[in-house]
Amino acid sequence: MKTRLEHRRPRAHRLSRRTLLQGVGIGAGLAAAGTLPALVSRARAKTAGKVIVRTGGGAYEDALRKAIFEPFTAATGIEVQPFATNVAKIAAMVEAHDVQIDVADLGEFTTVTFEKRGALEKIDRAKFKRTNLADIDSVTDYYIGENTYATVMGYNTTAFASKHPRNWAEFWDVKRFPGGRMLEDMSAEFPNLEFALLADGVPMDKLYPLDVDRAFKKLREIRPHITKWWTSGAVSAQMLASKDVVLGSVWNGRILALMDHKAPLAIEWNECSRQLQTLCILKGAPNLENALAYLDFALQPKPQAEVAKLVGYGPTNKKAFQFIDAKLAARLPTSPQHLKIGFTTNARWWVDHRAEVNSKWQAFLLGE
Amino acid sequence: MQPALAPIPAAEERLSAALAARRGTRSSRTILLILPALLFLGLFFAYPMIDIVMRSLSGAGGFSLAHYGRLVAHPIYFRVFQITFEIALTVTIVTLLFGYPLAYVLVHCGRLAAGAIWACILLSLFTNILVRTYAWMILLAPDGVINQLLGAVGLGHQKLLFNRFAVLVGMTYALLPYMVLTLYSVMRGIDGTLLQAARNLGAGGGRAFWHVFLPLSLPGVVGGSLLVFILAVGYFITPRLLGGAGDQMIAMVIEEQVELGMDWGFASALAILLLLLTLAGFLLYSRFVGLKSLFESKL
Amino acid sequence: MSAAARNGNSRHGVPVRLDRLQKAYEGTLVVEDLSLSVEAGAFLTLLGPSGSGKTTTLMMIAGFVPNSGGEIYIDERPVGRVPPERRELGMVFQSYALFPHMTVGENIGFPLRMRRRPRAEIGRKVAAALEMVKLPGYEERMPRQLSGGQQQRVALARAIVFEPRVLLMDEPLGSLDKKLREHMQAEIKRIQKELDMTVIYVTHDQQEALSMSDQIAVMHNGRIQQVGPPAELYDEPVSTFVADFVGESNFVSGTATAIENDGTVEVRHQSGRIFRAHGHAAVTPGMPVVASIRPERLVLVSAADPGNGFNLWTGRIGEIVFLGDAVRYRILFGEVALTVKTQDREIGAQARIGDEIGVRWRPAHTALLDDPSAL
Repeated sequence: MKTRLEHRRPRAHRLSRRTLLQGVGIGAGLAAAGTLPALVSRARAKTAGKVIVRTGGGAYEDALRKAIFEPFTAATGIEVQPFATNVAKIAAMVEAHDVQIDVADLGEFTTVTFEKRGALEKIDRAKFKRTNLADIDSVTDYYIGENTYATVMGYNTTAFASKHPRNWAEFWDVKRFPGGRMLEDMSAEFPNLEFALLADGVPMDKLYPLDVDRAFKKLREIRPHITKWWTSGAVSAQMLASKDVVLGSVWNGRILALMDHKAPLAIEWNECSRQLQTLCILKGAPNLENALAYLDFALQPKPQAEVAKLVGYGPTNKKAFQFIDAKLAARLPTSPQHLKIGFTTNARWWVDHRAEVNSKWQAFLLGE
Repeated sequence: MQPALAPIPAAEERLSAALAARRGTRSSRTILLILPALLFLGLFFAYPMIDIVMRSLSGAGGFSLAHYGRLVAHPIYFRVFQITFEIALTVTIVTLLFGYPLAYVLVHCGRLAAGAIWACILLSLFTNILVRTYAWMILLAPDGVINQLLGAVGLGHQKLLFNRFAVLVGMTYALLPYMVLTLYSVMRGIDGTLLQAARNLGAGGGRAFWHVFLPLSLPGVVGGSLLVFILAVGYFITPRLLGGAGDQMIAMVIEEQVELGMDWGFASALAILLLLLTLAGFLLYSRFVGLKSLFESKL
Repeated sequence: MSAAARNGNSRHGVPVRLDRLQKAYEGTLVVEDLSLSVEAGAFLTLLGPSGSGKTTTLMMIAGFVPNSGGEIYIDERPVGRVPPERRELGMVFQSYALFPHMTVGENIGFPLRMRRRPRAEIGRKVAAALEMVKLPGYEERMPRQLSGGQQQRVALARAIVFEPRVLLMDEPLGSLDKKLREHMQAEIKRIQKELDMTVIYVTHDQQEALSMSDQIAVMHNGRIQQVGPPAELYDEPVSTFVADFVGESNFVSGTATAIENDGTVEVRHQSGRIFRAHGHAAVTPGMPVVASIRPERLVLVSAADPGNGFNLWTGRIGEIVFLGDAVRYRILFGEVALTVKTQDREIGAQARIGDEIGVRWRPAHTALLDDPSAL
């Protein structure tokens, strides 16, 4: 009876937190707040402590649990408490100096924003015992790249059976490759200014700093052929699936999921842009040592390879590919063959220029 | 001027005098009764409002008008406000046009039919907005059911999705229940014998409706329209998913600033401007139509 | 329609006739085979308890409720299929049904506006109608600013302003207090006389019916029980229902033992007591009968000499109730009891409960009912 109860407790805890976050009601929130301290102190007494990790929830969190959380707890005795929340909530915690999470799993744009606001703990590289940080390119003072997703060119194989656009210049060529297109809207994440500049002849290694006006000029050329500027990953997938468009930029995870369900779609990896998912530690993290231990464990080749197998994100640790077969590598943005033909989005540039681009983007959408 | 009826007004005067005498104790009791609501509003409405105002007025080094400066420097955001009000107003008018007859039928039809209509209306109200919106994406798709029907009757394929039409369809569908519920509650309170009286006095069905039912249902029309308009002004999921490039609504921009841009100051400035513009519209309305019509559900 | 009515100058009521009128709701007859004639200019009251079908009947006449069978004739013209707005009937509703969004003047002018009368004429007629109901100058008030009695007057003014030939009234005084009600009864009668309208009036208040009507039709269970002038209904009720509903009554059953030359019937109560009752055509000796005797027709006497031509029973006082304008006694005669109502307080001053006392009454005030089996 006792063991069963204790087995259940962490789960109930997580659920109540989630209820709170979804804002179902103040009553639920108060109830959760009331039960939290008791549960937390009980958990602390039993284990080597815990670490609270922010994730985006969903399938990604399920993969992390299998690939990282469980082996991490087995190896260290530290319990992992996933905390599914949106970015705004973390920003609110930072602002209120009431940080309830240790490790945040965030897109690089968000991480850099937090870094600039002084919200991140400097990472003590000396504490890394399991991971060789030299195997990872994206190591900075405040965050480390965890994995990578890509914005690729996706196309319908029935519309483009014999030949398809192989770069963004050809994407812009509506005579050779007719058909409805889509590109990313700023409300999804970033507008595809880089692709426009590539189409206009800017070399891939000379993209940044972006020539914003030149990019918009090029975007105006393609505007009449854009069915919709997709506003979320789900919308882009829906549009490809229902043949609203036959060609467009799309996140690799979204189109791969459709291809796995036998949709007549394919990816052109050439000139894809990579976005980094990062791990960082929030200033004021309640379990700082455990947070570092978590980073050290999560960035090893093996767990990285496991995450790649489960959700198709590209590992940042180059050694991870020792555990990845060629078939899987062909799906990953960071496999050696894809690394060469794509580029990494410069999150720092975007953090500095997002407001400026936003005003221009609104005007562009409304036909200016 | 009170022939033959003197006892009655006199009695009423005495009564109202007695009531006035008791009013003193009543008002303090009234304050006690509304105190919890006042506290709640103060804590959960006024405080966040003040916080938003402060945010919109603060920059890197304290007080700053930079966020409003950005608004002024980029008139495109005013264009987005204009589109927002355009869409909200159209949705309000369309929900009224659909909702009025629907509420009228609900009030006057049999219990069975009313039950069926209520089920449809409430089902849409209880369905998650994302689910509803994706359902419309599927229905309005180029090879969706509606286009297949249009093709079958020889109207050819139409572009139904990712444009203003789709936004209006999605938002009308989502907001119709609010209009119907408001209208229904007002129409329900209209005394049926008033219509009988109108008929008896020589008005045909149409004129009885025009001279009696319609004026008495106006508080519902005004209340429902206001409710739908204010809700519509804040919509962002439906226009984001169903709309095209030209269907930018201000809440979409605000949401983007909060979730992605993490620029809460600018988001606050946009929110405050939205509030002020909506209030201005409200005042303009009350200036020309009168607030009384809003709050007097029973004349 | 008469020529005079057509050009709007008519001030004469027209006859209304109901011919085997029926109303069924979901298979149940709520008005059954109802035939009734109302003379031009007469005041007829439909009197009955709630659920008796009187309001349904009025609604059928007004045209709000379609009749399931039979026909309604107004001025000898069948109107069963005529929509309410073309029946040209005035109506005062129980709730007054004043339009809350219109002023008093607009309310009263409404029927004239619907008839597309010129503005000047509307103003003049509205003022005249307000004068008629003694609310001159009230045009600009809103209905909610008026007292119940004033609203009632406005409703009446609105119903008569277009000079309808027939005025229907559905419990119009139901929500007024007693004093005002009596006042309005007189007002309504006065206006009816002035305008010479046919009035069909619905009420459950027998006092109101008795005081206002030329004719009363007592309704029960969707049927008319008895029609007649108030005095006839009161003095010669044909059924226990009518006798009981219109006024108060003592019922005594018995067997007819003899019929005298002048038609007077001798009745023997099962206790052996004898009384004589007013003649009734259908009664033959040996028949079971029920007699109705109004309490105020009974006179208390000392048991000594009652005089000729009276019934006299001797019993004991069971109860004395002081009513203000009268005293009510309950006199016990074994298993029978009679209620006596008298204004003579001399007797009451001496009487005590349990005292022996005589009750005397005229055979002429003893009505034999049609339906002895109903008791």
